Formats: sequence, structure tokens, C-alpha cells
Amino acid sequence: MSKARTLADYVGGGTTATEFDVLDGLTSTTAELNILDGVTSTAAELNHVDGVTSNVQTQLNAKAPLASPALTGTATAVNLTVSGDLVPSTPMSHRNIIINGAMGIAQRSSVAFAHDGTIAGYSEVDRYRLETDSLGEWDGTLTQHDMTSAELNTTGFAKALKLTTGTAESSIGSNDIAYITQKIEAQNLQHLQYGTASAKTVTLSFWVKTSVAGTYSVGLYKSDSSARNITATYTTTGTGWEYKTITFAGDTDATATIVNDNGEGLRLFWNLASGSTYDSSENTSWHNYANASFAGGHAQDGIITTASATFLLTGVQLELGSSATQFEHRSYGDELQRCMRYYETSNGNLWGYPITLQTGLTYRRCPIYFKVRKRSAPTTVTSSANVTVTGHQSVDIDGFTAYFDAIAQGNYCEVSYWTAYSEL
Amino acid sequence: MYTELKYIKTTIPKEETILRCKIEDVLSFVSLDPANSDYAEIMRQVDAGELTIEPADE
Repeated sequence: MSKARTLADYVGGGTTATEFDVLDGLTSTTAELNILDGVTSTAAELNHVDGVTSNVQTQLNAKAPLASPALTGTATAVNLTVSGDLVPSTPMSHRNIIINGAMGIAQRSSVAFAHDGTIAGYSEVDRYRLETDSLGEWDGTLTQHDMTSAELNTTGFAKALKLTTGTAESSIGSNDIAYITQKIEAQNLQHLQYGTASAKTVTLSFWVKTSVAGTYSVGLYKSDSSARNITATYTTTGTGWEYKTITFAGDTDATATIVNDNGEGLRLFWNLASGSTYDSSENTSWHNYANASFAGGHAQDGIITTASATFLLTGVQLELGSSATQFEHRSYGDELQRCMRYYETSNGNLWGYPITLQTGLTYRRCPIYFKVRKRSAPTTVTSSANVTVTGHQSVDIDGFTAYFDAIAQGNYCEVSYWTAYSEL
Repeated sequence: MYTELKYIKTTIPKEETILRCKIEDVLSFVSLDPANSDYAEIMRQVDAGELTIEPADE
């Protein structure tokens, strides 16, 4: 017989044994039962805590409010519709500090670097330059690569910059170095606030494909005032296109100021080979330039020491912030205009005939006006189908004048080709 | 890289001087602008005694 039944027998009255049986097995104290005193919630409402495994208030406190939430991490969303103002801390457009990051502009013809003691110069792809020092045997090319459909599918880019080694350097001496670089104009970098406590972090992203797997270094170099630099490393598998992102802290050192002018502000560079003079110490934070750390961390020299080795690069973006965003694709025309500030050519088309000979003068003059104002008074080159250009004059950021000796060469003359460049 | 360097002086339409030379064997005219990277490099090599520039004809 249960205790409840015994109790019912004892109490008698109107309480049934079944009703007392409800209390069978009860272990709660009166105080515990009294917690329910005053509860007005329904069973359905209490069931809303079904499945809760930790403190509800703690969980609620960790949630962002609907009104003015201050998110501290990286928010992701499938779609985002903003009905009011969107105010990002980094730019949504014109983010990419790099010109021709998609490698689409190639105003020069194929560029081959013969080994003539000085191996350096701009590539077929605008704004990218090869720099070397002390290489004794190497030669190669720096050209624009047409991506295959599969490469386009992988990277999202139709063009790339391609370095191909012809004659390989048999070994890398201590003073040897080779790197691809883009020099960035100083007045386009003032928003980085280098040299102040507010110096901005930047993130570099790029696609790379190397025929030789290994550890490579990439870095920034500032030549203004006191030279400064920083590097980071990345590895490649040597099997296909790989996407890399690297974040560089802002340089707050007082000597880090980038002079606000039309000179070189920063040099972004990808090392291809480096001797011990340049890579003997790590350099993962900004510091005063030293040869030993220029290529700090670089380990793989095989691109330069292997015949037919290749190094391909595209989708280069350098932007404010500590996260890489989607590449900012710009139109061909937009990017071409940017490139023309540093290099412009008549593209092989007949440019024009000189102005009629002035009375009493022996020269004919052919004024040439640039489509885009140049960074500085440029270096100019012309060619003519039937005469020798005697000289250039009034060379300035907006154009120049080619002139001919009409008496010596005849009145008929033309400028069939011209180039003006004011590269950094 | 830079060969056959010579200053060229003209007087019409205004008096001015430019640097004529061959760059990688291509006849080129270099502005005397310190911001011009060719001019800066040429002057660096001149200062280092590695290059000389023929003066302009009078």
C-alpha cells in the first residue's frame, strides 16, 4: 500500500486516494514548491524554454540589439538591403590603390630583357617593372598572358603578368636580387597617413601562379625621407593559381611620412630571387631600410635559376583595412586613362603633319597633345616614315613639339609614331 | 642604357634646353625635370662619373 493511500485513509474526507497518489514520489521541499507561487505563465509559455541548455540572459546579452548594434566581428549576410545611409570605414569604390591590377592594359610591345649588364625596365603590362641587380647570366621576358577559359574560371581575370626565364642564373650570389614592382605615386597615398599615429593598415590581395613551389616574399618600400620597408611571405604549391592576402600595418614612425608630391611614394614588390645580402633577416614590421631585410623571408630563387620557369601575377589589389575585399574591376577605358599618366603612345598610327613652314624659318613643327596630363615633363620619342626628327621642344606635361629641318629634308614630312613616358 | 647624350638648345619659339640621347638604342628626348626618372638617373650617373653629356652647340 502506498504512503499516499495510507495518508488518504488517515485523512479521510473528500480527498481521494488517486488524488493523493499524485504526490507519490514527491521530493521537493515546501520552499521549492512555493517558487511556483504567483506564477501566471501558461504551460505553453513555460514550454518555450524547452531545450535551453545555458543561461538565457547571458545569451540575450550576447545578441546585438536591433537599434544601433555595434558589431565587433566580421558580419556576413546572404543579402543586405540598407534603407538609410551606409557609412563604411574604408572606401566602397576607388579602393584599389594599384593601377592596372587586372593586367588588362599593355601599351608596350612584348618586353624582353637581354642580359646586357643592366636588367631592369617596364614590362609589356603597364605600370609593372622588373628590377634586378648583379645577375650575371639571366635573361627573360615580362609579357601579358592571355588566360585560358579554365584560368578565367578559377581567377576571374582574363589577363595576367607573366615573367618567363630564358637563360637561367646558374646560382644566386649574395648580391643578386630580382623582383617585380609597381611604384605608387606619393600624392595618391596621403590617405594612408604614414608618419602619424593614425597610419592606416592596408591589405594586399593577388592571384599568383609559379612553376616552382616555395616560399616567396612580398613587401612595401618607402623611399621618401628616411627609407622604410616591410615584408611578408607567402607559399606557392607550384601547381596552379593561388589567391593570397597579406595585411601590412600602417607605419606610425615619425620618419615614415610620404612627401606629398608626384614622386615615388611606395614601392610594392614581389621578390623572385635574393641573395643573402637582401634576405638574411626577417622584416615583418616597418623599420628603417636595410639591405639585409629588403627581401626578408624570401627562400625560393627557382624562378630565376630555372630555365623556362614562370611567375604569373594578376588581380592585384592594395586597399585600406585589414581584410581583402572583392577585386574592384574597373573598365578598360578607366584603367587606360590611369596608365596614360605614366605612359602614352600614338599606338603606331599616323599622328599628323607639321604646321606650315613659317616665313624665314627652316623648321617645320608638329605639335603633339597628350590625351592625359603626365606625372612630370616626360621623356619623348618619335619616329617618321620619311624624315629624321631633328628635335623635340616645349616638352611638358600636356604635350610637346617635334621639329624637322625642312630645308635639309624636304617639305613633306610627318610624325608617324610618338611615345611619351613619365614613369616613376 | 643611356648613350650619345647631348644637350640641345633651341631659341624659337622660346629659349629652352633638352637632353637628347639614346635609351636602349632608341632616340629619345629627356626633359630637364628632376621628377623625370630618366633625367634623375642620368644625373646620378653623371655625378658618379659613369656618364658624360656633350654640351649644346652654340
